[in-house]
Formats: sequence, C-alpha cells, structure tokens
Amino acid sequence: MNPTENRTSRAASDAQLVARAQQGDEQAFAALFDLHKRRVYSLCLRMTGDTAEAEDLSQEAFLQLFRKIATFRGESAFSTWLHRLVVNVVLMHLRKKGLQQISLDEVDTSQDDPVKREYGDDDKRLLHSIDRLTLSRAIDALPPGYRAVLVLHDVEGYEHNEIAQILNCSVGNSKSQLHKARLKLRDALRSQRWQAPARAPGAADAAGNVGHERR
Amino acid sequence: MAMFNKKWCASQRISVLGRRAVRTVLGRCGLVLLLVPSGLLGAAAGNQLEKTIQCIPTPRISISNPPGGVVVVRGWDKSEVHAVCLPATPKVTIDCDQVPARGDAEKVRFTTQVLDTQAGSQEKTVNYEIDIPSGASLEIYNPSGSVTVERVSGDDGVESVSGSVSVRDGAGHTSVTSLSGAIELIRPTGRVEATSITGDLRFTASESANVHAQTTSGAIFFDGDFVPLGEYVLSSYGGNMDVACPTSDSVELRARTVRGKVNNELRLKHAQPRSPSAPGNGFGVQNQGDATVELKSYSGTIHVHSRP
Amino acid sequence: MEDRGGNGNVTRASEACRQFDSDLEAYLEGEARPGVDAHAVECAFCAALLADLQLVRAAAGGLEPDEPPARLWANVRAALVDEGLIRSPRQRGWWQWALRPVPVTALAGLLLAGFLYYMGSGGSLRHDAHVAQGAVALVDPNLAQSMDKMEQAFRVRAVGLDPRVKVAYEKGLDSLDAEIQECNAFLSQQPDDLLAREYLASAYTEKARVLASALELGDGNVQ
Repeated sequence: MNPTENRTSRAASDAQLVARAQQGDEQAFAALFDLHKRRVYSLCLRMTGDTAEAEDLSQEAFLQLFRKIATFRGESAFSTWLHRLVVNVVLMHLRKKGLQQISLDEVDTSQDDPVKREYGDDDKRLLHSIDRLTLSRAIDALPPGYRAVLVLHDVEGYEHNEIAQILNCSVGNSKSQLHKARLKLRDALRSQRWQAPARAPGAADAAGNVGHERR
Repeated sequence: MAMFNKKWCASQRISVLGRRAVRTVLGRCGLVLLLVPSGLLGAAAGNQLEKTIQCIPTPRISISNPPGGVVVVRGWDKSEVHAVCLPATPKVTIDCDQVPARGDAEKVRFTTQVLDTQAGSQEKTVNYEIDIPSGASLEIYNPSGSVTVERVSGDDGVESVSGSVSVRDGAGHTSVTSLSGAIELIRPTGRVEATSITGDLRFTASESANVHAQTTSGAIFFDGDFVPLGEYVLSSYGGNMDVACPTSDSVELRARTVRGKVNNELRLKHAQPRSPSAPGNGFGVQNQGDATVELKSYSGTIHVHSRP
Repeated sequence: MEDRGGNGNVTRASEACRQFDSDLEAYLEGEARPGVDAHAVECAFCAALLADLQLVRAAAGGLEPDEPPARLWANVRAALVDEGLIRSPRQRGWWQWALRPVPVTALAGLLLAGFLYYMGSGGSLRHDAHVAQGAVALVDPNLAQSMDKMEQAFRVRAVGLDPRVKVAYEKGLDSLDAEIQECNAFLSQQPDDLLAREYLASAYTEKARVLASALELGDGNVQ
C-alpha cells in the first residue's frame, strides 16, 4: 500500500474507532491508543528530550484526548487533531518548567547573519550519513523553539501553515526557524566529527544509515 | 503498636464534597498496605510539634484535620517533608504515619486526633505548616480554617467546609471543594475542578487547559488564558460571573442563562457550534475558536469582556 | 569569486555565496531558485552545505517513532476507568457502591441514581402538588422520603458540629433548597428548558452529597 492509500485507510479506521469510542467502547479506546501511541510518545520525546517526561506527557495527552473525544466533529483528520493536542500538552509543560517560551513571532529575522564560512578543506566534505542515535541527541540539544519546528516539520511531516497554527506564529517565521534549526543541527553534527566514508547514494551501511534524500 | 489495613488509591483526587480525605484515599485500586504509625511527632518547645521525614521526590502526602485550623503547604526542592504543627491545647494531638516505615517515605499521612471529646471547638484546632517536595501529590481535609497550597506540581485534592482555599502555582490536577469558603486559584497550569456552594471562585493568571468551576450562590471571576484545545466550563446558579478573555486567544464561546443576563463585550464571529447542544443565549467565535468556553448561569449575570 | 588569503583559506563569503545563502531557505522549501543549483556546481563549500541540509532533512524524516513503555496503556486505562469514561468489567456497579458500609452514602447514591433516572426518562414535574407550597419537590415519593430522612439525620447530628461548620452546612443547604424550589417552579411552566433541568439535577446531586458529607462529619470522634 502506498503512503496515500495508507493515510486514507488509516483515516477511515480512525473514524470508525472514534465513533465507537464516543460511545464509551473500551476496545475502541484501546485500538486508538495502539494506532497512535508511537507517534504521540515520539513527539513528546523529541520535543522534551526526556523519556520520563515523555511518558508522563503521553499519558496526559491520551487522557485529554479521550476526555474530549465526544467533541471531535471530524472537521479535520483525527490524527491532526490528536497531534495538535499533544503539541499543546508539551508546550504547556515546557512553559510550566520555565523554559524559554517558544514564541517564534518575537524573533527578528531581518538582521540574520549569513551562514558562517570558515573555509578549509574539511568544510568541503559532506556529512554523508547520520546515525539515528547521534541525530536524536543532536535534535534533543537544539533550543526549544528550533527543536519544535524541526520535529514538527521534518520528523512529523506537518506543513508550515499547520505549524504556524500550532505554535501561534506566522508561516514565514516557521520557515525561517526551520532553516536555522537545520543549520544549527548541521553544525552540531559536523562538530562531533562522526563523518563516515563516502558511499554511493542509496546504499546503506552496516548500521542501516542511508545517505540519500528520501523526499 | 496499632496496625490497620487501608487501601491507598493511586489517584488522589477528591471531586465529591462529602468524603473525608482519609476515606477518599481508600480508593478502588485494590492495593492493600499496612501503615505502621510512627507515633506522636517529636515535641518541640511548648505545644509546637515538629518532624522531618526523608522521602522520595514524588511522595503522596495526606493531611486530615477534622477539627480544623490553618493549613499551609509549600513545595520546595528537597526530598524531605518538614512539618510544624501547633495544636491549640493538649486535648488534641497529631499522628504521623509513613510508608514504608523505614527508608525514604513514599507516603506520609498526618491525622489530627482528638483526645478529649468534651473539649470545645476552639480547643481542638491544629495549625499545620508543612514543606513538601514540589513533585508531591497532596490530599487535604480541613473543614474549617483556611488552606493555602503553593508550588506543588503533583495532584492536589483539597476539601473544606467553611474555610477558604488558595492554591498557587499548582501544576497537577487540582480538585478543590468547599461549602461556604472562597476558592482562589493563582497561576494554575494543570487541570482544575473547583466547587463551592456559597463561596466565590476566583481564577487569576490561569494557564490551565481544562477548568471546571461550579458554584450555587457565589460569584466566579476568571482572568487567564484560554489555551488552544482547552475546555472551560464555568457554572453559577445565582451568582454573577466575570470573565476576562485576551483578544489574542482563540475561543469558541457559549454563554447560557435561564433567567439571568449575558453581557458580551467581545467581538465574536457567529459560527455553527461545534459542540452538540441546544443553542444558547450567546454564541460566537474569536479568532479560530480553538478553545471551548462554556458559561452557564440560572439567574446570575454573565459578563464577558476583553483583556489586552 | 572566492577571496582567498595567503594561507589558502577564504576569509569572507563571496557575493555569489551570499546570494546562495539568501536563496537557500526558499530553495529547500521547493521554490524555484535556479541560482542555487548553478552556484553549487561552482562552489564546493556551498555544494557541501546544500547536500548536508538535504541530508539532515531526509534523516530527520526517516526517524522511526519510538515505542512507549507497556505501562503507558495500563496507566491511561486506569485513569479512564476511574473517571468513568470506560467501564471496566472489574469496576463495581453503582449498586455495589450503594451497599458500602456507610448507610448515609448509600442513601445519597440511591437518591441520586433514582433522580437521574427519573429526569432522564423525561418525567414531568407539572403535576407536582408541593411546588405551590414551596417545599422540595420530588414526584417520586421514595426519593422524597430518602432525602427527608437524610435531612432529619443531619438536624440531629448538627447539634454536635463546630458552630462555624454547622452554619456553613445550613446556609449551603438553604441555598440548594432555594435552587431546587426555583427550578421546580420554572419547570412547571417551561418543562422543556434543558438548562433549568440541568440545574435542578445538579442541585439534587449537590444536596445529597452535602448531606452525606455532614453526616460523615457528625459521625464518630471528629468533634
């Protein structure tokens, strides 16, 4: 099944399960949980960088979801509705912790510095591949605002107009913050000097890392 | 050594007026623990009693003070419970139980015990001042006298009859009931349920995404953020309601009353209601309508206005 | 052209590189920026930057979701059962709750269950003879009797309560009685008003619970 068919099929099963869950059907709750638990937990984990917090937030998100499920009217895809709820739960948590508020609209992008170039031979070398663990750690180390946009766009696949709604910013800010997040991530990965030998595009190494573009 | 079996429920919420904190924690989860009373608290100068208990960072704390008194609980960053208790007279004392009996406590319970049942009401009161780990969850039963809880990020359950209750910077699920006392919630970020029959309910700088507040003849004052996808239900029977809504917040507002009035100063777009219910006296959407706000009264006036 | 210093390292980006930087964000968003590809052919550094960012984007998109711990569903489920959103086969039915050793609470439970059943079945209060006399109006005589018994028990036990607490209970009950009376009177004229029915049901619920609370407080050795 291709991704589009997958999504359509998932949406249809979500709709049926939601209808049953709205009647208090326990099996429907369990099935919805099972279908979405990994994405919810991963979203919480990537946005907080902490497994204990991610577990607590996932629990809170599912509880809020099931409490509100009676009000879901189907105007948007259930998965979109769910993920917006999850992001709100995480953002509230980060605010509560006193972390710098993720307020992308306050960032002045008009005075951006150009990308630093400390030219040397090393800077011509490509990253080639990135292992999952290193990438996850590097994402966790990003500032909250950058991390949120990068996770929502590149990891979770949200569009900028959706991210703008979720994070209460403009589409332009979402795009510029994403670009900066990727640059920062690139710098972090390069500074760790993980570089692997060059491989042909499409070939995976022993760890399963792939060096070609998937999109 | 007195031994008794109790059930200690994993969920420490009191949402029903009418149960003591002790019985409330006798929940439905089926876990049976043996509580070994550690006896009376160590006596300090005069009537004041003081105790320090090492505990885990997220203990469950319960305070049962049926004769009433002033109760103040504050969260701090130590894995310790430090209690200072002041009985009015020697006719009343405090029991302190901890589980497990040795090592870092996971549960700590303070119970006021009346030694002389003939003593007058004022002779039996006990004031509590307790510092607990900020990650603790808390259960308080204090029928008369004020209760103040600050900076506790676990779940809070507070039950009072005539005393006022103030919860500040509560980050967990906060459930407060009082019969005639006023209830005040300052900067809550967790879920909130607040009920008073005749007392006022006041929310200041709320950041909670889920608020349910109900009073019969008291007034409700709400000043806070309406978080996207949040749910807010404020209900007053005869008392008035004053709700300040930031102009930047995205809300779907429904205000209904049987015999009262709705004064809405917000500029709302009128849209199809998302929640299935009968159309009310006032309905509209500000911005995208992400938060659901339901205001109800029987005969009170509902006043909704903007806040910059 | 690159501006190289004596050590062979470029000390500042060229104008072309600056333009590349300026266009890069839009290019990665899928907008047409032919200058980006063209410059990448000429400039190894910018080409490396472009390739790296494309790789970062792809790698992030390829991250598989993590598996949450198994206890997550157990915790969620327990909370849902606790809140009554789902019904567990192990959960006690309301009749078991009503048979708890506290008879007062059992009365409150039966009263509430009976009243809610009555309201849910669309019962009419139009013919209630008590409305005119301002008394608490319950059509079902069994429910009225249960509520009266609880009130009588409260009056007896209230003598021993702390005066502040006793006054609070009395004022609270008066307030709820007034609410019940008003709603009954209104519904006798407009029986289909859903909000009024909601308030009436809520008033009975709260009254039952307040009485149960008062009776528990007056029980035992607490005063």
